[in-house]
Amino acid sequence: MSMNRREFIKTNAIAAAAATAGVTIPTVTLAKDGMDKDGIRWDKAACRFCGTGCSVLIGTKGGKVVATQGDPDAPVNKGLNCIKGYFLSKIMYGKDRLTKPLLRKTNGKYDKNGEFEEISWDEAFKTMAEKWVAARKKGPKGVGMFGSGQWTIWEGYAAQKLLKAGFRSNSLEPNARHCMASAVGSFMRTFGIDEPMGCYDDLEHADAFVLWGSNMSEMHPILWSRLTDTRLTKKDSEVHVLSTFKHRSCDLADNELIFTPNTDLAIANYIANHIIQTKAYDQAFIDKNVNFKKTPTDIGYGLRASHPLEKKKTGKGGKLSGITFDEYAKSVAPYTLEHASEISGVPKTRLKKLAELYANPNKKVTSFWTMGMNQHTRGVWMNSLVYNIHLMMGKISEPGNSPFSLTGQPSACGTAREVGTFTHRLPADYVVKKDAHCKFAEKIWKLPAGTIPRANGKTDGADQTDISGKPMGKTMIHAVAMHRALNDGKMNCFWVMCNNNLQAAANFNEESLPGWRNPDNFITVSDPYPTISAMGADMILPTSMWVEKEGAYGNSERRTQFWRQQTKGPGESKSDLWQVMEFAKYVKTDDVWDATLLAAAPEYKGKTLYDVLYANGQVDKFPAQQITDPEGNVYGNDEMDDCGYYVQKGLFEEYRRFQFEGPKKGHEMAAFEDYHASRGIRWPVIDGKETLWRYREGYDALVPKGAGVKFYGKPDGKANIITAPYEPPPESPDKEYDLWLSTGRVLEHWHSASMTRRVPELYKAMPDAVIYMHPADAKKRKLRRGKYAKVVSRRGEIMARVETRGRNKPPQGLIFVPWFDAGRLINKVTLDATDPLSKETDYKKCAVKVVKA
Amino acid sequence: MNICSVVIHVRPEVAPSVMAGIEKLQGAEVHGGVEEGKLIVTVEHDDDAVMAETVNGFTNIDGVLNASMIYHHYEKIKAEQGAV
Repeated sequence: MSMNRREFIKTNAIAAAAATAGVTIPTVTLAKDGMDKDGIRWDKAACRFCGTGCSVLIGTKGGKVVATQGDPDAPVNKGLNCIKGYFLSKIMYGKDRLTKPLLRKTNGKYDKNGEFEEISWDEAFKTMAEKWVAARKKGPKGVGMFGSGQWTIWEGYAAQKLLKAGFRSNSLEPNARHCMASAVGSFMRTFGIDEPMGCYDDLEHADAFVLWGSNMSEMHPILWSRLTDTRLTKKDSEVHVLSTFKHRSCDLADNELIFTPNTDLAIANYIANHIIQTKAYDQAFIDKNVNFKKTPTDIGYGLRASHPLEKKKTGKGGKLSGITFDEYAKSVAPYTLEHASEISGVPKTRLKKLAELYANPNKKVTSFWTMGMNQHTRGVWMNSLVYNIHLMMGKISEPGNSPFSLTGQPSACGTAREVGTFTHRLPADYVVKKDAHCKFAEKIWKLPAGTIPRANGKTDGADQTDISGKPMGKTMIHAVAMHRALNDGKMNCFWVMCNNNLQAAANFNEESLPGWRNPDNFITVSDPYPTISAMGADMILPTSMWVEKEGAYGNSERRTQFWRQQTKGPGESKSDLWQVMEFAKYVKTDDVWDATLLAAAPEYKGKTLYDVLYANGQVDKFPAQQITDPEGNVYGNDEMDDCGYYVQKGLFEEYRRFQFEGPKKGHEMAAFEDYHASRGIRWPVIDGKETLWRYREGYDALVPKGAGVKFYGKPDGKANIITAPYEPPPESPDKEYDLWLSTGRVLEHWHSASMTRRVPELYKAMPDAVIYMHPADAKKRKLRRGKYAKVVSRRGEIMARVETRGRNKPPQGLIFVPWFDAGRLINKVTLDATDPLSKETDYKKCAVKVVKA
Repeated sequence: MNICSVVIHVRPEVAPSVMAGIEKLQGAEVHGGVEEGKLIVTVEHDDDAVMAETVNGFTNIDGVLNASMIYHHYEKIKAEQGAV
């Protein structure tokens, strides 16, 4: 039978869909062989967008991606992609891709107020090196780098070495600080080891799902489709959705709980109280596996020290102290059904239904959350309050019983958290606060002891000396503090890579923009596109993205996934990995290390940071080779071509030593090649086997025989139930600013939309951010749907159209504005309050008014 | 050439009405899956903008729980008529 090419492709498209859905369409069969002959090369890659970690088949022809398909062999997405997947083949081909380094100049010389002019990579790095070396002389916080949960694993690892070891600076943060720092903080406090104990298989095993501040339907659509499948096919299964406004995920809800912002703290405590009052808790599990703790309260809101709210606080920090079960019970006793309903605005019947679900020993419950819980001035507390419920019931670490923190970025787990590209972290949960951890890292990195700046600037009890000759002092600085330091002129060089922080950070008007445009500062942005951040920078470096390089991501369920380079980046664009390593060639140890340190390692004197960090006999250990797939197709590897060795493999294998050679167990990964040969593997990987549920015997090989459950992240093998009360948010609506503002994402755009807004059709589908508001609130203010209005806070204002009938339906008193729109920067309006423990910004609540434009 | 296939998840009891809603969208065609509540749909249109509007429109139809992209082919080619 002969059919034309269009019909042929269409038939294949139908066949693939039918096969994935398990639907039989008699006249259609998959003609994969034919497709191969069509000249398309197919290979797997992890999706570029969210933290779900779907695998996508990439069809390349003539050096261009022309087709994509949900990977039918992928355990995560089983052949499905979300609607954003439709645009994957287009995100690399926006008309305004950057292809040359650009520097602001006037009359041929760098000028902060000049226009962008094309320069060579050599000029770019020479300029940057001069600025960075000078700024570093001020102290370890003189320079800073802001990376990403979208960096590949090796990009994050290379950057961490550059900053912490090369520049001897802990001024390294990822944008993941804005999205999951609270989750991390709570994991460490509760379990002593980061990331969820469960996995996506819980989506099929659970009897009930509870969403605590997550709109999975729009933000994690593939996980939502698995959840939907379970809900529609499993008898007596149920879905509970907690949110501050009604959204798409509520369509499937059996119990919808719309609560007043910040009162999730009270709701969680009510559930715990219900479990205690009805004696539903699992006494044996608690006795064996749990310690009870309390945390300091009234700890402020992470604002500048000069802010009145910070002066008022009476507590500080997060040092835990032990309490008894009875003391814990007493601490949650005030959270009665009546009190919880009154404070949250949720009807009693609904709260009770939720509490009874958790308290029912026969119901397997999986709780999901994302930014609704993490972007919260009490985010660390709130994460723990949910663990408290699961721990009291023993509903944890087994199929279907899972408290599950979802991540928003494709490698927030794999890179930001596991590699540890935060100011306080090192790979595999080691931290710069501990002298011994730093020494361990220095040993693996073949560096003299004392190279890495300790949090307090001391090693073996003595001051570390800085290049300035002065003691290092305190060295940690988190994301929000970096913008403040730029604003104050204390940090003078800033490199933003693989994210759009000028758009993403809160309080644009008062902190971010003045910080970036401060005449003392030199800002570099690496990006594929001219984002708001790029336009706000002094130098722009063009980036090869996603499958234009060999990559690795780690998703929410601890699954590490690799891909090969499929195509070449346009023009002179280069991967973030190349940029980090190449820049290291322009700085010498003598420029940034003090004499004592150099004397301890005379062989490094006069060497470039590249020589010391990457050409160290480890990273450059694996010779260049041809990259092929099992079918014999040949792939490029631009970094290998440039460096002359297998860079990705060298970095990954050196990184892996942190998982095996230190005292911390539970982070073990498989060898480099295993990942290219699989659809991802979930760590810890023990004796070649992945781990689906951690801490439980039979599922987790690290739990000894007979132990049953062991939370081995803590020295005594027990997890912490940490009590914390409801406390009010930093800013609530008042007479003048009479509405809550919550910000977030929409299905069509991913984060700041620097990729998705480049696709003309997506832009058309959701061109501008709108103000989602209740019709009664609009009427009261004489606003009409589709007409412009102003959203005004104490910090700034934006204009946008009013939407009263959209997919998001806020209750009276709250508006929702998405933040993807570069033309309507809602972060001019938001408050830069953070969780004092996690330093994560609360984008979900501040007070605004909406007036006629 | 711009062709894609989508699986649309619906409650089986409303599948027939959702199907009618889908076929009102330009370029969309339902090929099966009504009984299972998993509609097999293709979208094909020469105008990329129309195409995207259709793709993005599925989840706005009442009764649609989820729409998943399965296969997407996007290629600028002059001659598409050659037999394979």
